Amino acid sequence: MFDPQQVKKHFPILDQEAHPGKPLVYLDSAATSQKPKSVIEAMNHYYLTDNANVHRGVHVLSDRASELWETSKGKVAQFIGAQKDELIFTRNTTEAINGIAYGWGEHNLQKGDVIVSTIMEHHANLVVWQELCKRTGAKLLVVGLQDEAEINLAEFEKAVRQPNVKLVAFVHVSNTLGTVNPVKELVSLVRKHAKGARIVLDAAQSVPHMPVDFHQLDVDFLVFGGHKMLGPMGIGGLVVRLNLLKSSEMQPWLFGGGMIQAVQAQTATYSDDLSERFTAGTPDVASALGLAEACKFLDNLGMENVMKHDFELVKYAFMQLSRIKGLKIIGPKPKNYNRLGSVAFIHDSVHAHDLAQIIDSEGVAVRSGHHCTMPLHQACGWQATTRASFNVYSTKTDIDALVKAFDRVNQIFGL
Amino acid sequence: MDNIYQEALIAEAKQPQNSDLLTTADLKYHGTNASCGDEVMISLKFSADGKTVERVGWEGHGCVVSQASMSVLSEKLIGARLTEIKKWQKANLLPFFGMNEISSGREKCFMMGLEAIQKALS
Repeated sequence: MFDPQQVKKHFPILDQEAHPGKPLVYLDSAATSQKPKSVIEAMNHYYLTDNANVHRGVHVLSDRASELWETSKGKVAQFIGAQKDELIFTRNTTEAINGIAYGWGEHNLQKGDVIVSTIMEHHANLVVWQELCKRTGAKLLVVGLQDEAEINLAEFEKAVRQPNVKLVAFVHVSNTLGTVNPVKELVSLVRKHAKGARIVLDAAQSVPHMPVDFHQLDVDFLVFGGHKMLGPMGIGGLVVRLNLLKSSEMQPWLFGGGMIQAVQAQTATYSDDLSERFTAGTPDVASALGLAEACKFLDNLGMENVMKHDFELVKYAFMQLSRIKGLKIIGPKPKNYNRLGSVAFIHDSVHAHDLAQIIDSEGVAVRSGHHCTMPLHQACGWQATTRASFNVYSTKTDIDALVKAFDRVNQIFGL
Repeated sequence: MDNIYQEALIAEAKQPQNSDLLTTADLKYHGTNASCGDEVMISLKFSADGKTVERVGWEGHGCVVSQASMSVLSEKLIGARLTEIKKWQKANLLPFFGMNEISSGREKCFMMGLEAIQKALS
């Protein structure tokens, strides 16, 4: 049985007061999740007992560090349904998307080609393509929404039917709307109309909340960040379909030590070993280890259970917040796991920043602003929104505290 | 902490001063706070010698901190020398709200108006 109160005990940071007499209620997990003790301890243990640089060392610590790096990578790959060689560790989701642009985009796009994305994307899944278009002469098509909540499927289909669509990039779970996109349907539309186009799935907000299987999703690239899924900051992943990674379509984009085969003064050849070819420089072994530990923690809870728990919270928050006068909740009405992770809202007379700060004064941490989705906010005519977001340690009591904090908002603004 | 939400600040934001754009202005400037989408449009009329601000009008959308700060600033601008305005800092505005400091999270809100004016004058 999934008991969030028990889960919470594994997160020491949550046991503190935000302000005197106001216990911390952390509802900003979509920005970053907290880390269980086991993750922090695994990383500490590494630096206390096993630290050395990986590969090519013949001494005992280097052997141990190399082994830990490889097994961590294997564990994280397994967690997202990928083969170990398909996973490239990056610093975060954003760096992973940039990796696609530099490692694939620069070698496969030219003037007249089309990249399709959507208006609900995080800036990382738009700005990178805007820049790639500037460098290659390709054109970016941005698909709009239906009912300010879901990707407009007719518009999406029209976009992928354009000639020369080479890349289609969309988010799995929106960090602002909470919408879970119909990946299967979107992928089949791309495969049907844009033969040979590559698909990028931004899974930063799905991997922490639901079972994600790279091969089942049938996309070419999948990106995610460790810190949103109970792992440390500073590590994320780019998953690339093996046959694509092995082909000349995908080239290394970071060069230097660790990724070479042989180097002469003027030229170099690069390693055929996929675990080396795309990982230049000293990797962050401790963070990889921490992320693998986070995957074990989530495995123990069971991702099906995690998803059920999360959807219960979304439904509860949606219902409770709907009762607050003057509050409009954005995104789809919860039904059949159509939204996960967060609930964002707009007050008809109190600005998002003021809301968030007054809510914070009651000990409840929420986020306000545009959540790195400015185009979405512009398209819907929202200046800024306030977002409460969840993870495995979040409880209905946390949401009750958020709702209660509105008493203070009403008091201050005389509502 | 919510101690910035004093009655004075909320009252200032609810009934802002000089909150109409001037029909004839010597300078207009549109400022934004990229972190939240707040915006302000400022119009200024200078004295005949062009050295001081004679009239100010502005319009904006945003949180009470940005709106109240812009409102107080607009009054302070009238009659001020341009060379002085360019030197103003947050410390010149904080006392109007009985504050010594503002949290880093709200500084951009508080400074949106002044930064816009200074960019307009630069």
